[in-house]
Amino acid sequence: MSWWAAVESTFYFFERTIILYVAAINSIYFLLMVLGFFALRHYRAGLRPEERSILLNSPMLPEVDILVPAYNEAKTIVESVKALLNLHYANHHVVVINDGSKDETLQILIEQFHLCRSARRPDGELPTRPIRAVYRSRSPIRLTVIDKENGGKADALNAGLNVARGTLVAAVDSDSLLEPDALSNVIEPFVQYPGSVIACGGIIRVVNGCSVEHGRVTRIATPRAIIPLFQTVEYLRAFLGGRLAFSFLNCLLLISGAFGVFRRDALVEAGGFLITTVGEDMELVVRLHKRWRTKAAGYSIFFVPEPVCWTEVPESWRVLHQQRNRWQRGTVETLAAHRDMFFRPRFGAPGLFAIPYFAFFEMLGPAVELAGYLVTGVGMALRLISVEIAISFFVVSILFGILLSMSAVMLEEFTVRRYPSIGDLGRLLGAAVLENFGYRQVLAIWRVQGVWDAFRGKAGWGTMERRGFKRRTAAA
Amino acid sequence: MSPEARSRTAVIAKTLTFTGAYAFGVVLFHQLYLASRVTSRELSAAISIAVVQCATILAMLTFSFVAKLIRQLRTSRAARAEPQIRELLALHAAGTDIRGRILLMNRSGRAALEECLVEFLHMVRGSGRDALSELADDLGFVECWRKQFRSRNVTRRKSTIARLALLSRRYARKTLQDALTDDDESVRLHAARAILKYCEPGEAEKVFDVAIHGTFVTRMILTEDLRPHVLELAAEAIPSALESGDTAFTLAALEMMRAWGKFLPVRGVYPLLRHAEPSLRAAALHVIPQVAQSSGLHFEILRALEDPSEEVRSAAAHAAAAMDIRDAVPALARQLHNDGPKTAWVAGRALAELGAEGRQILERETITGSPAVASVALEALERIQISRTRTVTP
Repeated sequence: MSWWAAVESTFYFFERTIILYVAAINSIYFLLMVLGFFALRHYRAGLRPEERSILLNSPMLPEVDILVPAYNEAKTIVESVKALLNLHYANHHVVVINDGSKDETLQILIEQFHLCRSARRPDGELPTRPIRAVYRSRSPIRLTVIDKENGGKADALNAGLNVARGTLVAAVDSDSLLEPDALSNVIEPFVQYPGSVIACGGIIRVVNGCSVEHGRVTRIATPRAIIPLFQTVEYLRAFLGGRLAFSFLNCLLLISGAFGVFRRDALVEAGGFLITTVGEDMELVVRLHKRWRTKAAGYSIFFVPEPVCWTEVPESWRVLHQQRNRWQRGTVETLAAHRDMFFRPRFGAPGLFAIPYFAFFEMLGPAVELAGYLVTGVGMALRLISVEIAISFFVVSILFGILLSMSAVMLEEFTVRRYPSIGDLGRLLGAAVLENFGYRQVLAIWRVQGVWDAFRGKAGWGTMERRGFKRRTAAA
Repeated sequence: MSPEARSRTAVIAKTLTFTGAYAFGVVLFHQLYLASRVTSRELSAAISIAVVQCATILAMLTFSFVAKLIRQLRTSRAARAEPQIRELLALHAAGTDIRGRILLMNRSGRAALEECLVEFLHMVRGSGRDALSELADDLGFVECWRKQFRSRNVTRRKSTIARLALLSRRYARKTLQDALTDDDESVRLHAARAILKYCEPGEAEKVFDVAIHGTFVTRMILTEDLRPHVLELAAEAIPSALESGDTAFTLAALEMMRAWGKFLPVRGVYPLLRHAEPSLRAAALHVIPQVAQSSGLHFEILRALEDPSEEVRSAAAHAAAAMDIRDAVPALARQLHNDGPKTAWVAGRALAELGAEGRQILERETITGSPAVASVALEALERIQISRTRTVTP
């Protein structure tokens, strides 16, 4: 066998392996999406609206402390806090943690909500950066503000946990808006299965393009700009397909940092949020799985598709790059920290399915995809692989990608139907096609870079440029 | 198999069936059509998957648009017929005999008539409801709904119960009572709520039974619905639950009593203060301020302040403050120092509410206590000051 034939067969082998891999990943996505679809229908057959409204006003509802870490959020903090204070829930308390902001965040809060310095000290024992002061409102509103030295989001959440006294705590990003019923809906599993549910997350949607007034989304629409539109499709795919299915199998590994509710005692027992990772939301959920599986105690971690948290997504390539790099680093750090769970039956579905899935597909997927483009390109140029094999690769990677994204959009249209106009549906379907030509490949490069950065030990969050919700009202 | 497990199994079965059908479609397309036309097996398989998925999406899109179109057509047809039906039903409810015209309408648009009838039954009471219930019976809707209640589909059973609940009781009593023992908890909940709408003597007790045997969600909902019947329940149903000897039912009854927040002359709470189970002792202490007081109760509260369980001590602090037991001040002061942060905080609040003696202790602790105790004391004083300011400020 000549050396050229050897190169040819190596290329052929690589290409086929890559095609098989990409076909496998797409098939799993598809299976998760189908499971998500039926799980969603199963979920929607729950309580009727009037029963939900009785639940909302019941004195038996558990007390919830909403923890809102804020760092340089002067533009959005007032709208966010107002929206949180006005949630339809009978028994909640908002705790804003000013994480050493360099802008006017604290001052604005003090002025807008008539805060005074309180004698209150944190009761909990989770280690955090020093707390400068605790403020409470003089008005009859349930708001506490903790002013502390900068220590990052996880540290701020731990400070909030130390102050919280409710049975449940909700971690909410200060740049996110919760729908009025979001909290009551996300609490439902906790009251439905008291004692066994330790965490629950809700769906995150893209606020770009929507109209916001007084901290509430008043008109739902898809974003006009292309980058947020692509992200809208991505969010639909991730939440309506993947997370619902993972939750159904009780192996949900990620409750988004933008909105998640936890049993406070479970969080404290697990040691709170980890401050040394940028993926503290995923790391925490994996740690909760690990701890409860080790204890061999019955538990569930839920994802409910009804509660809606609206979040502002990046509109520039630079910020998106930073965000995706951070997400990928968070995934790698979490998987590395909990590598002992891989394929271990004692960790049940998380160890046998979810963690390997994240490692092989979410972490390595982008690298394999890029390798596929490279091998196909070089193979075609040097005539090492046939045209049919090259087409097969593009069918499984690009066409399947398009079809998966379109399925996610259809899933939304069939079940939740949040976007009312036909135009929105058309734009989403268009984005589902277009995102596969360029956008997806750029993300793959950034994600590979993220994995590389994680192995190099890069830290830091990067910055998010906020437009602020007030401008959205004006723009609408 | 529990209903939840059954429903999960159904989801998995549907997923597998759908995926199986999908895979079958792919294989069929690959074998019957593409394999002979495309030489590469990989390409043929990949294109087969893509084509089947495209067809699925296209089918979904078509279905979505057709469904939207049908809904639109139905709405416009109903918009034409419904005003006339509504007028006839309004006249019938008011006592005019126009049965003939309604029967005629029943032949041409039965579905619209049923919807309008249900809509009207939601709105009318008294003789109007009786007349419309009788009409529903004459038109065969009642029989049809009773039959639907025997369906295996839970959603259909629930919607049937919702409809039967609107009728005068003589048409629905038996079905609603049967529904209280349905396999599915949500159907039981619906039936219980329907029964409570026009409750007859003795029925509230049956609903209370559903509540204490149900899940926490069922209990939360029925607790609110049972609120107007609390005094009736206090006579027999609640004491029976408290004396049942079953910890779960007793706890459930105590939870409901606490949520009602009303004074209730019930027996059976005092013995629970000495129950072996700490959670029951704590729950009983939470409701003790709501029940008739007897001699020796103060002693029981003071005893509970020294209970080995922190949960019980915390509940006792609540009770002491609510019942204004000044003798509890020394024990509460000890709790400030010896207990965990949560109980110390409850004790601080109780001291702040127990008059000058309690507040003096708190003021002293702000100066001499450890930083943690001083902080609790300050916070308790701060709270009472803020609540006073709020009371005074108009």
